[in-house]
Amino acid sequence: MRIGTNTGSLYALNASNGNMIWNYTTGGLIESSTAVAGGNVYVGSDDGNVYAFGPSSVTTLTPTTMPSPSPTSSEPPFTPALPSQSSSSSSRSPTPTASPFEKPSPMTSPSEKATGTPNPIQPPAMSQEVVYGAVFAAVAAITIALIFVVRRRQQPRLSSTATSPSDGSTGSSGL
Amino acid sequence: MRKTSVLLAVFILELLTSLLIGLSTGLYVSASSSGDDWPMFHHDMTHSGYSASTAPNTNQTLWTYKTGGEVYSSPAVANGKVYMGSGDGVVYCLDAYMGGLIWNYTTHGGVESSPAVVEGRVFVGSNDGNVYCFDASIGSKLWNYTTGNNVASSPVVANGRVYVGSHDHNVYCFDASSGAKIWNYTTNSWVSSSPAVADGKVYVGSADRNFYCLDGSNGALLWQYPTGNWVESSPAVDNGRVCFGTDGGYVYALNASDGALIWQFGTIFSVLSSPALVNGNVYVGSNDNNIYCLNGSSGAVLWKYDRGHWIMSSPAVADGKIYEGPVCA
Repeated sequence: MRIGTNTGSLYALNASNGNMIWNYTTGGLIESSTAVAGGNVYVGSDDGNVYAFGPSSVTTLTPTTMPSPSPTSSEPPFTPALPSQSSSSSSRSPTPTASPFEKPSPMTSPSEKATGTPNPIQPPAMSQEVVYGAVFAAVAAITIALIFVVRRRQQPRLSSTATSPSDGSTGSSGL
Repeated sequence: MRKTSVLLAVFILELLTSLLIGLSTGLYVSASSSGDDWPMFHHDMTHSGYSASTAPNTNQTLWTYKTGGEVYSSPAVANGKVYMGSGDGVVYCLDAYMGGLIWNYTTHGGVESSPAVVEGRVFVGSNDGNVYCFDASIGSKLWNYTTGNNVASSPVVANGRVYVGSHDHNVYCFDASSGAKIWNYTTNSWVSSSPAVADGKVYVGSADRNFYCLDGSNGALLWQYPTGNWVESSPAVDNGRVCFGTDGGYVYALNASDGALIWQFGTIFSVLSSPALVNGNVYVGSNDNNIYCLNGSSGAVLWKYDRGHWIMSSPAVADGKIYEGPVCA
């Protein structure tokens, strides 16, 4: 069904007047809604990809045959139709009278692909744990380093001050 | 003497390294814990669709991630991770900055529900009929509840409770930590609309052509509004108004406390898109190809933009921009 013509674009519009700021054409329809977080924009497409847009390019993790960004929309001719009845291209088109219910599998047997035992007590987020660990390690390293530095620098001084009284005494006796 | 200076140099180097580690982790903390997450469908429990985040001015892609099916689930972003479902039945957790896979979980049906991420837990529905709760960090399943049909509705989490609709005609309320069902309310058709929660009330549409307001604590019906058309659009609540669209092409604004009609606005085709409520304005897409900006008080059109395509995706607003993905067929 998806033969290259069914493309969908993400549009960024000016909120005050509706003028288009930019758009991006994906290889499939866009039914997913956009999320905006941390200065980036995230959206899913029926081409199977999740797209992240942002001010600076970091990396492309999973290289895919991604359509190139199109500054101007060049979508194919479109014939509007009542979507509820006619969006036959999508098998999930809502038809409450004839429910295409995918038979639910027994509750107890969803494949446990993700590892880990069910734990009602929520551990802290992994990233935070790692960060706190790293900060603790850094602080510990600094403290140890400081102790060593102070001890190393104090050792010669202690020996010199230990000898100074005798030097002083000899000096004073000399006077 | 010489040995001492060498040792000193080593210690200074160690100090510098430690400082660098500390600085970089500090930067990472500030980046990951920024308060501009997008933790659930349409951003929050009222479905405002608004983020205080900055937003890009260009269409430059940071990364893409290929799943095994169509991605109609909307991404949720929390603590530097992106969560979404796919038609391949898998719930994905990706690194928000690099796009790398952190964990995934395979269900037995397409996942068109959008995840909600709250307090280290991910809540999402699947077309295998289940509502799932996962550990947000490692993806282990904490609980699931099997409803009688597809769960395409996106869960909303408020005050330790999860609210979600099912195609088995019910609106469900679960305890977020245990997954125990607290109540359910039965409508006369599918509930694919995602509930919105405000002031302890749950607002949701049904394909039985009614719009419902339920008591969040016990599921009692507070009021209902007959629209004459399926309500698949998810509502948004703001300033004592609840807004939603219907398959009949109307956008409604009702009084959130008693369900009285404030205004209605007619477009030509279905409004499956969910409105965004920002600064007193209503932003909504229609299958008549337009995205509309309406005055929230009167429903008057402030502007509209015709893009020649259906609009099923719901608009997001941030940084003075609207992001909207149209559908063309």
